[in-house]
Amino acid sequence: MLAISKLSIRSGSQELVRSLSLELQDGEWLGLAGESGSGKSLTAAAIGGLLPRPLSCSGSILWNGLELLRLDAKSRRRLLGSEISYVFQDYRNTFTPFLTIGSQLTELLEAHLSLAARDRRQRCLEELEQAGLPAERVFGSYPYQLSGGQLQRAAIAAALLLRPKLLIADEPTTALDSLSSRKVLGLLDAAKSRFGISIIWITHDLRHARRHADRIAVMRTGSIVETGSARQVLEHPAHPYSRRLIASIPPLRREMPERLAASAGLEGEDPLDHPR
Amino acid sequence: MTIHDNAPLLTVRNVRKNYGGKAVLHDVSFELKKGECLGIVGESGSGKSTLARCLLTLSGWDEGEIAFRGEPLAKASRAKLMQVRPQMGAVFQNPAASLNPRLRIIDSLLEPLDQRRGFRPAILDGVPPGREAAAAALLELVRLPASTMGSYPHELSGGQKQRIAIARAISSAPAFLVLDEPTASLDMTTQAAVLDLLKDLRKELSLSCLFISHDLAAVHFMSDETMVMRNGHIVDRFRNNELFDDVRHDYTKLLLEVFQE
Amino acid sequence: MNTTMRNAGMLIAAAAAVALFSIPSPTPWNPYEISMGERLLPPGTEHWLGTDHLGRDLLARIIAGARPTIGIGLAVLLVSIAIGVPLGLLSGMKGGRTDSIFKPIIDGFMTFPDYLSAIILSALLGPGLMSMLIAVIAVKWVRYARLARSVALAEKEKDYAAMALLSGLSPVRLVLKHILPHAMGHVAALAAADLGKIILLMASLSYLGLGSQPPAPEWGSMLSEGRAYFHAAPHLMLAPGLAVMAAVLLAGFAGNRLRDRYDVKLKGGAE
Repeated sequence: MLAISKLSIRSGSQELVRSLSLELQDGEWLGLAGESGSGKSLTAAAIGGLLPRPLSCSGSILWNGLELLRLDAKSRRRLLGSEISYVFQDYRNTFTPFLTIGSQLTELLEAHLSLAARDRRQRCLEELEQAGLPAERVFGSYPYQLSGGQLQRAAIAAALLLRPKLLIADEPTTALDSLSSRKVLGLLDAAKSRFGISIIWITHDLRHARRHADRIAVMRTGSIVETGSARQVLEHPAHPYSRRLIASIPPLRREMPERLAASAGLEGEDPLDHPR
Repeated sequence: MTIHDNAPLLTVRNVRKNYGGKAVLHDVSFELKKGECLGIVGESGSGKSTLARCLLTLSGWDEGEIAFRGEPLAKASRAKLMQVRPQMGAVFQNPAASLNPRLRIIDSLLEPLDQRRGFRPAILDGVPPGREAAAAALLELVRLPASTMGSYPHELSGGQKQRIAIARAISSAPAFLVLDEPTASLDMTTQAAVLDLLKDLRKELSLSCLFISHDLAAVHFMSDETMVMRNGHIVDRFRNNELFDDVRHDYTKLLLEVFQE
Repeated sequence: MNTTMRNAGMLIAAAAAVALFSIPSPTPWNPYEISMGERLLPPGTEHWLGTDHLGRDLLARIIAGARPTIGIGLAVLLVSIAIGVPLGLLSGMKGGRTDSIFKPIIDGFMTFPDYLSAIILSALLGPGLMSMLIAVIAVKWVRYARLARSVALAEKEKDYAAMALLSGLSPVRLVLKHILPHAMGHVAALAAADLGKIILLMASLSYLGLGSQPPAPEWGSMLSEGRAYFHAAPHLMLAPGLAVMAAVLLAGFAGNRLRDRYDVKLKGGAE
């Protein structure tokens, strides 16, 4: 349903994403793994046309046959509301601070669907409920009255409200603690099985990839170095960088390795020496 | 000093701290012994960072006692605190905030040593005198090139800044280190490199430390003994290899389950 | 604004400052010389900017007025900073009871508009240069106190402040080494905009007859004197008005440059 081919993103003479190609199937959960500077967030932003001004991009992003890179602003807005939606790392910026969560959710419905006011409210409450939140209370709350985990779940409710076909989650759990992260990833799983949506999950931490992702693409300095089924990439990573990324996760077992990088046979190549 | 080697560096007895009418630390007690690395794991709001600031005398507490090498700190004078603090080292979560953006690396790095003129830590044995030589030696300890000393913080990556914070924290040979989420804002491979570095340094310099993190796996990797905090209480405490035992607290089991997924 | 423009602005401001303070006093043209035969002359070859209602040379008066106007403005600014910044830092660093005394004072002062409080104060103190200075300083120091307080509140919570304390720095040294330089960057930015405002405020007070008194040449009082002749001789107001405007703009340029000096990101390497 989504086909990215030869996507390049430049800032002046610098190429931040280099001729990247990637496909996403209907109902698939793709983990796009990489670290800062890998271009994973830029790639995700390019899909929705969310790249900041000074960046230029070339190549092609086809969405069910529609070329997204040459979309006019109006059709892009319609598409972004209803077919493709985003969840970001910084949950604090998802909602306007001086409006209630409820009014922001209903506004979203109002902009895209013609529903009676009561139905709109009902629909929002259901969505918040699905997100495992105390729906009535959250509906009437201002963002500052909720915890980080609650806000991020409300953000997911907002992203799913219009039943998109693709959800792009850019580091949705990075700023959360582990129990909240688990709930957030669980929600995305539930959405996938309920409406069969596809998910692009951007992460630097492959810890939970085995449980959630169908396929994994590993990015580094603007290119994909390896793609494959989650199982294959996690258990038999082909590229040294994928191996390093996986070896960086401290294991939880009785016998601990002395060192993390050493256990992957990657001594010498030091990730700290790469500037941001 | 007439303190025995096995006497605790830090003794925390029934510490309680209130904030806005609510207790954020309840009856916290533990000891840190020389050469030991004690892990504290907890989610946001568990009180682990508040505890860190109390141990470092950077904020006060309401009840109980924290003693450093047997000396009680609850009612210590400012002069006393200024004498005790340089014997503690700290590395915090956000590498961007831990270096003054207006100072060159060398000046941030050497601040603790500049404060204690005449003091020469054992890690600088055999290093020629002079600030540049000391800075170069400290940078080498954390595997950074000497040229880094002339930079400003904004010119460095997060991992590099965090390594400078570590070098700085160990520069004055502190009695113990408080590492409060030192890897949480770093990339995965950088986290691993920082964890490896800390573990190496622990061995090389026989450091005593408190490693505080929400990441159970990282705590398990770093520490000899772990305490689990929840809502200001220490709910569980175990030696490293006891983590998988069935007698663990339900909350510990829950965290373990999340991280093992 | 790009660097060349900033530098050009700075050069002009510097040149103006040098000119201002190198003009011998008294000037070759006498700003006080009354010549009733030459009243209200338009600009011409003999009197470049014309003459005022007493036949005094306007250019001579503008030049003579520059020093009191800008010099006093600068002095007022510096005194306001010298009072406000230490008090603000003290309040922010100490917190607790000290802060609970200072904060309402600062907030209280901030609720009055500059012009209103300055007018009321200088009217209460009686017309004259000294009372105007006191009034303007009384109005201005609060801004610097508030700014320094907020910087202190924010920076003292940062990890590097904690680490500095752990290095054994005393709280006073912490302020001098880490927090004051940080505050000064912000102060320079505020001062840049403020010098112009202070000059305007003092010109307005003088215009209302509350500031410096005739026959002293000061741009504000010149504006005030010119008011009665505006229809017959608009240059009487235009000349000092443009002079005020130029000074305000140049002060802005100089201030921006000063602020950049405090920005390490412009100093070392590329971001």
